[in-house]
Amino acid sequence: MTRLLPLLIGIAVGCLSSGPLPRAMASDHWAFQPVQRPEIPDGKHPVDHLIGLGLQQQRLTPTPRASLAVLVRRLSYDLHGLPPTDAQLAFAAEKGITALVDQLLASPRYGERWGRHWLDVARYADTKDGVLMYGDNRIRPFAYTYRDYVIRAFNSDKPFDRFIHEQLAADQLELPPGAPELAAMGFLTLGRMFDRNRHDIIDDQIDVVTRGFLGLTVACARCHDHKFDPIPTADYYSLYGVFASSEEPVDRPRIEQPASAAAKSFETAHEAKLAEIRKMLSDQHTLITTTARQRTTRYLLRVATTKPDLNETAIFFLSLLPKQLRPQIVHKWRRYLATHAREGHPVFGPWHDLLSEGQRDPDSLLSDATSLLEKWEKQKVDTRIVRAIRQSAPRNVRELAAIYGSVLQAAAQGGSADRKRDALADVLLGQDSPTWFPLRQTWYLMSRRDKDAYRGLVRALDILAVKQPAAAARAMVLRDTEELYDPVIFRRGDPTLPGNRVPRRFLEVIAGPRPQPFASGSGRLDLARAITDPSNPLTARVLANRIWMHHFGEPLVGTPSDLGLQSDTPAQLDLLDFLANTLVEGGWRQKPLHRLLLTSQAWQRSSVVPEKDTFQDQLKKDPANRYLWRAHRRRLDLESLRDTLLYVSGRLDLKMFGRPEPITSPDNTRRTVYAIVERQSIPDVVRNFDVASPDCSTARRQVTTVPQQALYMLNSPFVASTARSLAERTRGSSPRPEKRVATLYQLALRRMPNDAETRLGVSFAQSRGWSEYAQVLLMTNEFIFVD
Amino acid sequence: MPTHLTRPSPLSLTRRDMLASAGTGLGLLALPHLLPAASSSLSPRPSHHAPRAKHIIHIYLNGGPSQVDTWDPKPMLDRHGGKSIPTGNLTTERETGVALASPFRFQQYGDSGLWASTVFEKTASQHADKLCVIRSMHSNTPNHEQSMRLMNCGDERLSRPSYGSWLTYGLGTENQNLPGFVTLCPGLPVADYSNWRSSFLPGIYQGTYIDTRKTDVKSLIAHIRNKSLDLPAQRQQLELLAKLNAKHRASRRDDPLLEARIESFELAFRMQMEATDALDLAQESQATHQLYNTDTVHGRQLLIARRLVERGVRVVQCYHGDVQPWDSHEGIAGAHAKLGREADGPIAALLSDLEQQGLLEETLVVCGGEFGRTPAVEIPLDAKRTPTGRDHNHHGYTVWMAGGGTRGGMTFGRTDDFGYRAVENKVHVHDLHATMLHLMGFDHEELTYHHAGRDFRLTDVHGRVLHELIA
Repeated sequence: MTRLLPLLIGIAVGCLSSGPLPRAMASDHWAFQPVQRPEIPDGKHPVDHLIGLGLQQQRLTPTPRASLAVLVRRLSYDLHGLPPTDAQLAFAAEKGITALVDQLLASPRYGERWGRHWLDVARYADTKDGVLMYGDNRIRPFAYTYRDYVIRAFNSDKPFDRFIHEQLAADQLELPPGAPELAAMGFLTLGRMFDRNRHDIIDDQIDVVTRGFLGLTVACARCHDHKFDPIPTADYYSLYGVFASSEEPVDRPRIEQPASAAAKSFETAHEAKLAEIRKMLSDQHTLITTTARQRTTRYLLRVATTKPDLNETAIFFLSLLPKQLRPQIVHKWRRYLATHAREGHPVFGPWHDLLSEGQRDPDSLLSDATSLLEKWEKQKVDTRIVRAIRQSAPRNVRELAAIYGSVLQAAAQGGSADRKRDALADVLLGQDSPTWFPLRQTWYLMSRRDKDAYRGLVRALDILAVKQPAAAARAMVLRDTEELYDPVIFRRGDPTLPGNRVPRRFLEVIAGPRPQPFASGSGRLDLARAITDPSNPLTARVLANRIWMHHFGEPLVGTPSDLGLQSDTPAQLDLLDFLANTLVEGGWRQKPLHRLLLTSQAWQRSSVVPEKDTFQDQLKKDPANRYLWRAHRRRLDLESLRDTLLYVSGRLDLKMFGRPEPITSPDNTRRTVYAIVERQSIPDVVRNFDVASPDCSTARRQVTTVPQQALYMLNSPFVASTARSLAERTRGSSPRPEKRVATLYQLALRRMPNDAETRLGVSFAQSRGWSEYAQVLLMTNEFIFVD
Repeated sequence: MPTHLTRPSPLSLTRRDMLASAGTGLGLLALPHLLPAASSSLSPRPSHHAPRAKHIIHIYLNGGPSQVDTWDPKPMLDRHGGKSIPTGNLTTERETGVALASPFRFQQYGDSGLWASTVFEKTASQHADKLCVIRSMHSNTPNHEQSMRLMNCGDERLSRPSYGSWLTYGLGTENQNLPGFVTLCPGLPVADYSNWRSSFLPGIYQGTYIDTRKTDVKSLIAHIRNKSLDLPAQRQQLELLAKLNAKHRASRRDDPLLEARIESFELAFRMQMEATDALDLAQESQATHQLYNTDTVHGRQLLIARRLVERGVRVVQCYHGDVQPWDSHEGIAGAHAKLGREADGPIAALLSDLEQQGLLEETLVVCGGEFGRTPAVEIPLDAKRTPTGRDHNHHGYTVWMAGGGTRGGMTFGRTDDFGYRAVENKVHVHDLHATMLHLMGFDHEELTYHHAGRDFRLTDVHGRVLHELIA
């Protein structure tokens, strides 16, 4: 039995144990080659031609076309995630399936279905994560604007390159103020919060961008060069620099006019709260920097007499009292002195000479006063330092720190006129000063009580919006920071071990060696353009593969977010390339591609394998259907299941957009895509039915079969009420129970029952009840599987 | 490169894929063992090596119990009480001051002479020789939420699966009629659901959370009973369902998912009875109720835990209480005494009971918090208040294990003279995890899951199995 384990569990951790692959292999990798354009003979459907080649080669016979009823149901779930309506069935019978494809693509239901696929990739959630994120506190009040943006983008068939540009850099596209497209940046701002650890937040952004758009696992290069793919840490940190040069403002731009009186009064309260936040932040910034300057002596003494402490660099929450030194500033002083305290330095030369190894004698620092003082004068050490040391003749490090502290503070206070030329004043006032930090980092340095108060204010700002449903929508944007961040490689992923500098730039594997640095601002727009550059073979292949996967049930490349060296060359690479080309040449529009795929014979084949020997043999030869000789049967995902239950019970509310409601609320009869996506307290129904975790980007959901799913169908009040409503809908249909069974079949399974089914139904319903009977129909495999 | 590495995950393999690959040289001869009846994602699976333990009960004293007041006596601390600690204070979340002598009396117990304070007097006096006390635990940061996640998921901030999810993923469930991983807590601990999350593992491996403040058996697990239909009525529904599904399946015999789903309804039906049965303490004798003191939630929880492991549940976590009850920043003398009164009796009862039922051999009991506390007194944020408590301390603390193949009556590792920092045979949380997985039959370096371009594991690149603690 143990020989099975590798298959089940996976083998030794590749990432940890194997060495990087030689470049030669990487450059041969299929996905990094330019997209090819396969020849399609005139008059042939390209998909069927290319699949036909494989079928011929493998000597496989495709199954026949599925019946119209099966195709209409398949199509309706595929494009809308809903069962077909009577009108659609009639329309298809009259005009054919191609006409129905066009009709369904034009319906707003399409964006609700296909937008949801993208929301999985975007690891979308409506909620925050972390400590005490319950009730109203957990809600990100404007997250829904991103979800709505995505649904609209799909419905309008927004070109996918533009879709990418907006999600990464809508703020830099010169949109008019308040443009609804600003909400696109929710893609970058709606991830987990990681206890406010900036490095992890950026890591998540790098991951969602690179796996989401490029099918590359760049986040694997955080601590070391990627073990499989040609992605060095330099690539990771160049992207790190892009996101470290971007920040999420507390004041989110409004993308909707406040219409009602309630909305207007919200704006007033919101503005007042923002003013409070801004004031507290600026007051705290002043307080902490001023205090830090006043404590120069203490900081210097701490650095000189202690070893670095974990808390100076590790990222966790400290409950500081106002009187305590800020560990981050201690750390900056350490680094400052490590570079400045050297022989001959105009300010810290004496500090170095008196405290360096071998010199250190706590009680007689200045044993050799005369010669040292003369040396410093010769070395042009600042006269104020030399004078103070001569006058006070420090005996120990404490006294030396006190001298430096008072001289530096005096310099910082006086002579503001020629401050620019005063290196001594710069020690405390310059941008390199250990006491300087940008406004946005203030929170990390606050004392515990101030920190709590500030956090309370920020939370209150969101709560205002949570509690006012009429509040005009705001976008969860990013913007460039005032000072851009110039990235360095963190050795072993450790921010306390800075290594070589790297520019903000694109990935070498696509852009070639030594890519041009990004030119504008943080580089987010440059990044977006590099991702959609037609010479980049990955983006279109990733998109084409995912579109294929959602239509056919299986992707052409088995790992839809990893096209790196761990991905096998797809059996239908020419097909994938044809689709990728079609996308790019069609201006990155998705609807024409849907139409192309859905009108192929391949998509329209039966999923049922005929009893004939040829087909039964094919089951053995190609059981996974790699060569697409038949259609894959699908099971409804949670969204389709719940929406269908609402639909058949006549309760589905098709209101679009806006704020979400809990999925578990009995009054919530809207489509599931509009339900609150939880990040922390995930409802049982959501986790039991394989919904993608919003903790990270997911291109393809797991499909599991567990009794908890059956328990939901058997016992949940939601299914019970669905069954009751469904039974109720058929009550008046006819006094004859046979007719009522037929109506139930029509509503639940979209077909007529045969005689045996009718007899079973009548006998069960009459003895056990119509609701109980309706529930059984809802639990059948026929209901939840799509042929 | 083996082809399975390139799959999105081993679980996405259908039975059909597996049968097919069996014929293509992957050597899957033992396949029927792997996927009995239907390809349920919770079917039992073999471990890497013969396990010493089949179950884990983790008694989670959330909030951080003080090691120097429970299992790690420090005479030097008493001697220096009220004076500064000569070796200095270590950095923790808050400002700390002078040494705070333990208000609790320590004594030795059992043949092994194991030291314990009055806080855990019952457990120590009845079970000293079963306990394997690790005095040299350490972790990374002195904050609850991060340390809770580290203790449960092996990482402080990133979204990683909990060890219970890893084990359920690795082993499946022994009893298909019950969830494989159950979390009991009266309320919610800090960092709540992230403590038992499945993260990138499939959602079904997440811990099933039960709020033990509720006592009505049927409301403890979601959808475990139908509010209006009784079991015979449901049985009839299932029989009709089976007929309809059989007909549907007749022309689709090649699809294992259809069969799996049919099976899942039968499992669900049995789970309705067995899960409520497992949680129904009324079936226990008066003596057992008295032993555990089931008037208290702590007694009730541990008795439920025993009933669950008895029925094959792999991992049961019992949190002491809502948020972080052991977090005695102030008045530690009173607070820890009270917490001890709540926890001690039921723990002693659980160990006796497990032993009596012959379950202790196969059940690993782990008891501790997410970190310990400072030997120095904490300086309150409000300067007017008297310092009477201890701050969080991740530099050194105690966790004990019992049963499940561990050695009893031993202490392992040492903190410094004041109990601040682990100094000898240091045990990081990753080492504890590696050891727990080892006892459950897994090599922690090989229990992996492919996700986002690489294989992940509970212990990341760390972890050492503590063979010294294994009997």
